[in-house]
Amino acid sequence: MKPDGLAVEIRARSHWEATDLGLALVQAHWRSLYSAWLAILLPVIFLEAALLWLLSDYEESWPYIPILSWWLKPLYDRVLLHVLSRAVFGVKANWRDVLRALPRLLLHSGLFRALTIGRLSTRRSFRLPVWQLEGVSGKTRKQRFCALWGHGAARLFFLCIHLELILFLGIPGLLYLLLPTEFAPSLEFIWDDSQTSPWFFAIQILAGLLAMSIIEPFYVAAGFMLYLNRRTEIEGWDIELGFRTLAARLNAQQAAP
Amino acid sequence: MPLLDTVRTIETPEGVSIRLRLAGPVPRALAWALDFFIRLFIWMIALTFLSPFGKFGLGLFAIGVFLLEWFYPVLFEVWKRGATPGKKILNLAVLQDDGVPVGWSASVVRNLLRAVDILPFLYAFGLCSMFLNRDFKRLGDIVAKTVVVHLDKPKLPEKLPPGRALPPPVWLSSPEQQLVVAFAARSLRLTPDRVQELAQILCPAIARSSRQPVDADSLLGYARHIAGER
Repeated sequence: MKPDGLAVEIRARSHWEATDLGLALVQAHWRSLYSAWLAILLPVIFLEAALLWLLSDYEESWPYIPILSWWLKPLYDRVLLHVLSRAVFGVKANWRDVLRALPRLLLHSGLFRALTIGRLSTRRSFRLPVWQLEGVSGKTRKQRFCALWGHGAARLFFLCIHLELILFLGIPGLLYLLLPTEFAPSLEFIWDDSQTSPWFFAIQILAGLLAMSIIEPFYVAAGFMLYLNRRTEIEGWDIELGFRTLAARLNAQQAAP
Repeated sequence: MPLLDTVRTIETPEGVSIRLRLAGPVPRALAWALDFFIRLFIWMIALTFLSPFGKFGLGLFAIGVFLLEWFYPVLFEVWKRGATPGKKILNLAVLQDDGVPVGWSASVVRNLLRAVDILPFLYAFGLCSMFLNRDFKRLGDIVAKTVVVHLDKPKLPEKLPPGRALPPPVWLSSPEQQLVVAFAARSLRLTPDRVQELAQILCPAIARSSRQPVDADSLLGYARHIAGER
């Protein structure tokens, strides 16, 4: 990856500003991001349901669907980063590109590690570009991690957990607020038998999936921007681009005095 | 196509353009949490001192909580240049959309609308609004026409590598001079290969303009001269 041709302004930023740039990136490319997101999330949920239905007692095991869907976040992250890595160069990737790239993303981006011992890493989205985009392995990759380190990545992770939790609790809260008071008593069974009521579970699961769908693209984009910011810092990308502009000005002046 | 950035440029009537670097949900959420813990601390102290007075004390406490909750952000924003203590720690500030300091009416409006932003749970509406708005505004900011911006200044160039100062042989504008100084300051942290690589982008152009050989060391010399060394 080289700084020329980037569709993102390269300048020295604080970690917070890099995080905010991640949100601007999501806003600018939300269509392609969410089409890719649905193209991976919906088949995954469908597959989980089919597998559980085939392999076990469905009545008993369906609560595993949300847990599995949550655990598989690193898989969706790779799809999102695939779209984002095109987006920073101003190229729009659609869900078809994603499906075409999927075999490579599944096999050559450290997915197995990310789903096992790496799943609870606090620098997941910051380190993902090294796994997925740099194409390095073994000792070189370790050196890359040391060089990049990941300032601001753990803070981002910690805050995104909270934002996701707020939405996860806020969505059922909103439904409850919107209930007309006269209906509330007749619907109280949803909350009263919360241990057994399928309604309660359905609302929880939908809220969880929705909260994840809102926060995860931002989390991946912000981690990616922290990564770009760190590379700008240690490789002097801002200076490289500035020097190119200055050299072009001097050359133009020389050519036409 | 303009490059993607979080900067909004505002043209003042005097023809000066101001760059506002917008702040998004993550630093703002943290600033809010810091403010919340500061207020929680004040509540606990107040409760310790007021609880011996029984119901009278609790009444005073309730009035105090009301005033603190509603006027803590307003007073800080108006009197402390748009920053509550939490925002101050994170180098954020509230400004009006046109870049002037936030006034009484705007501050009162944006803070009254916290009552909406906080619904249904811990600013979930405010969060959604920030995700949907290109200027990362919560509902209160939209109504009051305010923005929250980053104030942290780019750090002043650290020490330049020691050596001889050289006057630059070509005319450089002020941002270009800053760029050369930034290069010199950063050269200490970049790998030597990368320093040479960066210098090679600029050196041929300067050499052609000034008709004299230029290398990375001369760039460092220009930087020292620009920074005032002789």
